[in-house]
Amino acid sequence: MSELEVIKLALGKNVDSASWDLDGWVILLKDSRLRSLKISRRLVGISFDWEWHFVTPLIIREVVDDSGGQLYREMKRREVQIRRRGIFRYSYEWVTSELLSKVFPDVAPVDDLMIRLNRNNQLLRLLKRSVVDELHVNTYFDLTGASSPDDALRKHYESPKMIGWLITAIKGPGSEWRFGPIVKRIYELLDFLAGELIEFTRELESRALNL
Amino acid sequence: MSTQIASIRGLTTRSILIGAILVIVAQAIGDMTWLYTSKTGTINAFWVPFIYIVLLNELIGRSNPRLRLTAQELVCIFPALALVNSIKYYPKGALSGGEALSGYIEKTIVSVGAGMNDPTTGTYWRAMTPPWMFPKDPTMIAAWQTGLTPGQQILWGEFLPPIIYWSLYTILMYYLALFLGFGVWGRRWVDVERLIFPLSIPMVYMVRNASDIDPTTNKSRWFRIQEPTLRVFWVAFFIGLIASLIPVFGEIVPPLAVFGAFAWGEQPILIFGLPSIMPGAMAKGVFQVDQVALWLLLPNNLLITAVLAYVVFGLLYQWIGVITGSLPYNPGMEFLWNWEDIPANWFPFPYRTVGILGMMVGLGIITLITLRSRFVDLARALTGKSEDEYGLSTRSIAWFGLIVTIAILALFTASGVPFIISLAMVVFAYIYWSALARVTATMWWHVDDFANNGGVGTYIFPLGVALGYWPGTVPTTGTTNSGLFATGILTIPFNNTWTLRVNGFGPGAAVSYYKIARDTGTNVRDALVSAATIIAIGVVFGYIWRIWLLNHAGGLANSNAWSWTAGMKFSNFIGGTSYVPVGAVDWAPGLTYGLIGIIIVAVVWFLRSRFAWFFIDPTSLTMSMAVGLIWTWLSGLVALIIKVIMIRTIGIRRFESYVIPVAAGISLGFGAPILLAGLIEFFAVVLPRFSAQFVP
Repeated sequence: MSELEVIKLALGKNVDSASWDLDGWVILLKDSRLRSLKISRRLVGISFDWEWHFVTPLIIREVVDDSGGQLYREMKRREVQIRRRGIFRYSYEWVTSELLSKVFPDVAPVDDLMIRLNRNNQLLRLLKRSVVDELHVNTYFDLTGASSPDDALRKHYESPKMIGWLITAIKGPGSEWRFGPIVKRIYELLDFLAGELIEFTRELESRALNL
Repeated sequence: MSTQIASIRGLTTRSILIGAILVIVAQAIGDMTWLYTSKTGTINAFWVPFIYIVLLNELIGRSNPRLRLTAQELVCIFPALALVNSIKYYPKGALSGGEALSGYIEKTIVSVGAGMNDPTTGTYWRAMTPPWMFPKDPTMIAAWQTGLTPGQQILWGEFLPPIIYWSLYTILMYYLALFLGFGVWGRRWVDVERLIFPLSIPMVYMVRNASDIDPTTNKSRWFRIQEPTLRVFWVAFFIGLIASLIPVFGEIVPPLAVFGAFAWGEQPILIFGLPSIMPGAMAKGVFQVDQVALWLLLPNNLLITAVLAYVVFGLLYQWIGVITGSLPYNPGMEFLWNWEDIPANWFPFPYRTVGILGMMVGLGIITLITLRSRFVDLARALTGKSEDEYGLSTRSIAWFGLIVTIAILALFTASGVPFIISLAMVVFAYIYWSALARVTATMWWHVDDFANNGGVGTYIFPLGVALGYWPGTVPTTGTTNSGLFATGILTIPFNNTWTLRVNGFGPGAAVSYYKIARDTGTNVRDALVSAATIIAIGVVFGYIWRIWLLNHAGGLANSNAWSWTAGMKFSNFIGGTSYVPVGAVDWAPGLTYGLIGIIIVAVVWFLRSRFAWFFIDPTSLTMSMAVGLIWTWLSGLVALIIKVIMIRTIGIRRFESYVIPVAAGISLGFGAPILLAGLIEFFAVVLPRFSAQFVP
């Protein structure tokens, strides 16, 4: 089976359509919290090992007004990623995003999303099941009109085009022969995480409006 | 990594002079060591790892910055020592004279001269050997065996034609590898396929860091252990240094050298309990510290393929074959080498034959197919527009390759080889060398020999029979067919024996050197010209020096010279034909298994390129099968375990940051003590042995 056929088989009835985009497959989804999922394969460092990137945007608002901009910046303070521990059996922990402190050293992080995700046993169970190597939750941005990814992040922070999250899961080398199950488990993880993020963002939005 | 660095000139007056002097000194000392050492498997060439040249350069540079050689100049003098010491010099500075220039000398002039002195077949050899291959003068033939008698002199006039002839043969062989490495394989493998070139990593890492000079202190930043990656390198260096106790105990200290080993650290490990559990299953593997370190850079699927090939063929096939009676059981067969009598060479599934005659040939053909556009580009460049590729013009390299190929055909044909057979030998060299180089650039140097393992008997000899050049049966007293005699003499090392495969400028090494040039930003034309110049000087000097040494210090009988190579040529090509697998009486089985191997590698290649889930790698599988598994599985397994644990412990990003300094440090540290061992051996054994036999 080809790579795409494995992906389609793994995602089953949730696949609406699939197409190739630059460096990976973009899967449009149905009956799912996720609208689309991009799956691409990239070389790791010097060796020929592959790592798989699963990227999905989670759009909350497509039109941005003043309150949207404020919400986006509040969301930015809550960007998180996982930290993985262990050798044979992994344990996971949500921590503040390294990207936040690197690109926005002046923005003070807020830990309510991090605490909430760390307390979610179902999410931690799905993380252990998917055995992802990296998982990043950042505010939504794209690279259009930017000179570098960092530049894009700053521009979106100043004037966001859309309000939402960008979730990136990375699975490292050794995935080739278990690719089907890995796609399925990571999809289930991202779908569940999306539900949690939508719920959290709605709460954050109402809190921000009340401020 | 390579495209980020601009191309810088390395060919300067001082680098040319140093390279020329170094190759003469290294070959003089190295060949003397080769002939008179007591450590024939270990201290057998010029025992100065390149790290000492780099350290010496740093010392000189600190005293006078203008005298410090640049990274590119260091790269341009590197061929002098690689040529003398084999491909094993690249990752760790190890020596293997029989797989370097001295090995070519053994399999050419030494071999023919030994044949003429053979007590059984000497008369035949003396009748058949033309004067350009060895002197006809009886006194010179006798002196080759036992050395000059007091007052006797070398008749240099008699030796002049053989020196010219064999130098030309050897230089052309090196130049063909240079053309293929620099002109055909290199560009695509570095820029497009991004092969890993594990053997080039330590040299690239060392030269780049050592040449990074802090202008305020005039010191190399290589020693700044405050920097995390450099600290990791030096820690790894000392780990490698400690690990070198393995070859010290395994090869140098006689009472402990129980299992035997080769070339500083190719240490066989025997699994003594396995035969009682799985009789017949392969219970031997070679462990190499530097191989394990550099294989940490390989993708998992290459390592898994190497281990899986052992499990399927080495363990299960051999064990099930023995217990079902399909394979005979010989006590101790579990512990033999790949070239010995093992199931890999037997019916019903001689997987080593399948690997050598089939998968390697198939891999070579596939490789050349993937390079077809490169050949078109080079053909166009001959008369059309020339491209500048990091300093090297495509027109120059195309003409170089064309002239070298025509010159080889002309030399072979003029030597008596029928033209069509010359053409077949060159075509098989292109095919097999491409596979050899691909394996080396992807993984390591371990692949087996084409010519001696049925390649000539299966593919080239039958062609001559079909075309009526020689009869189908070769008399055991030796052929009197001059065409077959010339083919048999010239086919090795040209059509691959270990001397070519592992040579310091064989196919794999030539393309590894190209990678070093690219990654150090060296002007590629400069690297090519320096290698070609050093080879020309080294080869001519090597033949003259060997003739002087053997004549003045004991001859074949009193040195380590490989006189047995005459028997190898005789029994395989001119006094019989080598057929495979064991028990075959003609070329049909070899051809059948060859075809099976070609189909296997083609199918695996197709599946690997078509399906993401198909993890079996064609290059790794070919390498494993073609070398009878022994040299791949153990290092592959250890590297895989270490890699998995490291990635799971420190994560993929940090692993990728530190793996190169770790691999380079361990490899260079592992080879560093060779200097000490070499000095002791040279002054305690080599020089006294030479002096004792010296006849002025």
